Amino acid sequence: MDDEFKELQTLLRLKKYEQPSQGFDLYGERFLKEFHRRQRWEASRKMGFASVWEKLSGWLDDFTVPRYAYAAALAVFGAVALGINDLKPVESANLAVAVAAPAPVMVSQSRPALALNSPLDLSELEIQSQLTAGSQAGNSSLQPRYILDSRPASYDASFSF
Amino acid sequence: MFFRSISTLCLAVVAFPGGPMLRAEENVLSSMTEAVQAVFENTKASIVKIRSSDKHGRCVGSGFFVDPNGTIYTTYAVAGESDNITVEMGDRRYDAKRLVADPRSGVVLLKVDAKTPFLPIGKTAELSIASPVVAIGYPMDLPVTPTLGFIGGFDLKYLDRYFTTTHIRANVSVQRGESGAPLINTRGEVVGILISGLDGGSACYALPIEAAEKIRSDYVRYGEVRHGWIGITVRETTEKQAGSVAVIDELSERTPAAHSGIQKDDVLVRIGTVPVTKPEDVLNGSYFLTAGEDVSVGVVRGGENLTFTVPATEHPFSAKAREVKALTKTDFGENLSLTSGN
Repeated sequence: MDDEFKELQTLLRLKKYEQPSQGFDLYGERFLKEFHRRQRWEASRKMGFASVWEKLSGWLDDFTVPRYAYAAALAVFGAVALGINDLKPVESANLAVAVAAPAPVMVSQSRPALALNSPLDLSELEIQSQLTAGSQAGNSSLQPRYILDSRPASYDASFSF
Repeated sequence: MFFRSISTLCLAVVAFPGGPMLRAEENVLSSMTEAVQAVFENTKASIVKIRSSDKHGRCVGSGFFVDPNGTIYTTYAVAGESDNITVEMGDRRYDAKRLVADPRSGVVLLKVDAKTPFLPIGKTAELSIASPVVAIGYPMDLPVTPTLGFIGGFDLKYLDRYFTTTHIRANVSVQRGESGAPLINTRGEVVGILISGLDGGSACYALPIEAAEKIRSDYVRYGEVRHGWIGITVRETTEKQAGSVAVIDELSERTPAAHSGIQKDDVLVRIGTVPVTKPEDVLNGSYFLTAGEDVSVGVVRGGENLTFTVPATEHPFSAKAREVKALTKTDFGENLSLTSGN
């Protein structure tokens, strides 16, 4: 035992004169930088939900609430949820009525011009058709068109018979 | 006693100068109300709402029965190119079949399998400007509704565009959904079919019932509409002869007119029973021609009245309508125009 103690004293005396090797300061700085970098990486990895959850869990561990308080909060949450569900069908019904209601649809049903004695202008016919289609785009499936032409069938008359 | 009554009346007039006038106006309005109510009550059962559908969606218009077998008049815009046609009479609903759709006149004939009330046919010739008429139709999604108005005129053109035949212009306020509604005189007879609104619906144009009856007559006799044509073109001249400024300008080749004996520069005075005094009158004469039937044409040549009988052939409009149908390749299940549906 005494021998071991003497050896240890000798070793400590030797350590007293021991100096860090050349470049040790540089190594220490690098070590410190690497340490900080890994610390930041770990912190960023825990950002978001996990971090919040971790903090919340820690806070809850420290926060003691009676059980009836949890039950009351659950009851309030349930009541609010049921209230929202009851409101939703009313809003939907109103919307359905609004859509199904026969809102006025102005329809231009003017006919293509038909000359008595000249070729039909089919391009005009197509344009008229497109205009009608365009005016109804998007709402034709629900709203009927209440028909009233803007003018009778007419001609570029050539006074032929 | 008599003088006392007169004195009392004079005193009343002096004391209440507006009284008799107001009472007279009230009487007139009351009489008008009763007349319109009577027409409405007697005819509303014959007037129907028509629903159909086409590639753009659902269509709603009006129509009316013209015979007890369920034949209905409506317009081409309501049921000319649509399908799934149904007819509503009050709370009853029937599927309807399209018999004829004629874009030239704008008239469509439908048929439901039912015994129905119907409107009697009146005479447009008995109407004059300011004659009262009632339009009865289904505006928008509302119940059958009467609207009182007056005849405003008889027009052959509007904004420089000519109609197929003379139309009745009625100062009757109309709304969307009333296309195909009947125009009814004070006797409850139909005198026109409401074809279009005018100036935003403050007035309307109606096809005279005689023009619609030409379509129904063609269908009854031939199973199709047969617009006639003889191949004559008319121009206006400055010199009036026999009361007419319409002269024959051209006789088209390979038409009945080319071999009829009628000559260029003859003065046209009559087509069938329709007198001609100006080129526009040709439209009315032409409208009532029927392919396959003879038409008498009255002309004046060198001061002599001549009458020629010409067989009418198919109107170019019919061929063009078929051409349109072929090119547009409609798939409505029935013919586009001028022919019977089945």
